[in-house]
Amino acid sequence: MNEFELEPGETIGLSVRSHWIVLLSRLFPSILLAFVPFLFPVLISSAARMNPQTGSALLTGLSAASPWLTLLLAFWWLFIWMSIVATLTRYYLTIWIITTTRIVDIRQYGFFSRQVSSFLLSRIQDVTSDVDGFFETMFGFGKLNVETAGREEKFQMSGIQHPVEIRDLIMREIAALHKTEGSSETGI
Amino acid sequence: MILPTASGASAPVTAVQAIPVNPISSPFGTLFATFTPVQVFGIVFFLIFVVWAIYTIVFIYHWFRYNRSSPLTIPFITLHLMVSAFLFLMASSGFLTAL
Repeated sequence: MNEFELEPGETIGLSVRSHWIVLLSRLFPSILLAFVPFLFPVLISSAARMNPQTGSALLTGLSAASPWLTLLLAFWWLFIWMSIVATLTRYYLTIWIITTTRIVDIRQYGFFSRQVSSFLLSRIQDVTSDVDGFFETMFGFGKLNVETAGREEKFQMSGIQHPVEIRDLIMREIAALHKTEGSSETGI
Repeated sequence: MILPTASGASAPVTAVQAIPVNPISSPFGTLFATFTPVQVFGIVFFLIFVVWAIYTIVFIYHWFRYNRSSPLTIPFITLHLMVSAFLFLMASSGFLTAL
């Protein structure tokens, strides 16, 4: 990661991505589309049952165009594969990094569309985890809302894995930070 | 349509003229009349390969730029190249004998 440099004494506590089930739900439309070509033989065979003449004509036409059908099928799957690769890239390059002093929120919206936000733990006022729904409860993922002081900004990460543990980690880091600041202020 | 004739008997009248109709020419017909199927395949293959190559360069750039340290980077790029190579080979499989 080159978007941010760690300050002296700053260490990375945790790097977290969305839950794998979120990735699966994003990949599902592409997987479904990959199986669409397998419907055509079923349709042709049902057409052949209803009208044998049409069915045999279709089969003859399709066998004559076989190299072109293979080409079409291969390029159909190639474009689906490219969309899967784009989804995986978005998934892996979207990450939250919790360090000892701040949270770095890196979001990859698409190729050439990337947002990096960094906010200090000392400015955080409220951290809320939200596990709402059947799948969220079963697989242990949910939302994490972080509200910061000052500009009343609210950062949210949806579909995050172990939101309760991450909330606790952030609270622990904030407590440790306040303790360190308190110690340095009193000169201990 | 049945019309009465001069003799009073009814006879069918053909409403359609007996002129041969020219077949509708599709763009694909023109394409294949101008180029051989192998040439059409070559053009289609080349265009899609260019799109794929640009996409792959962008994809590799993103993984190396933002996720270089990940142990997944090289295996994932390799997987992409292997799956793509397989699909390009599959696409050309029907035409390789004609080349």
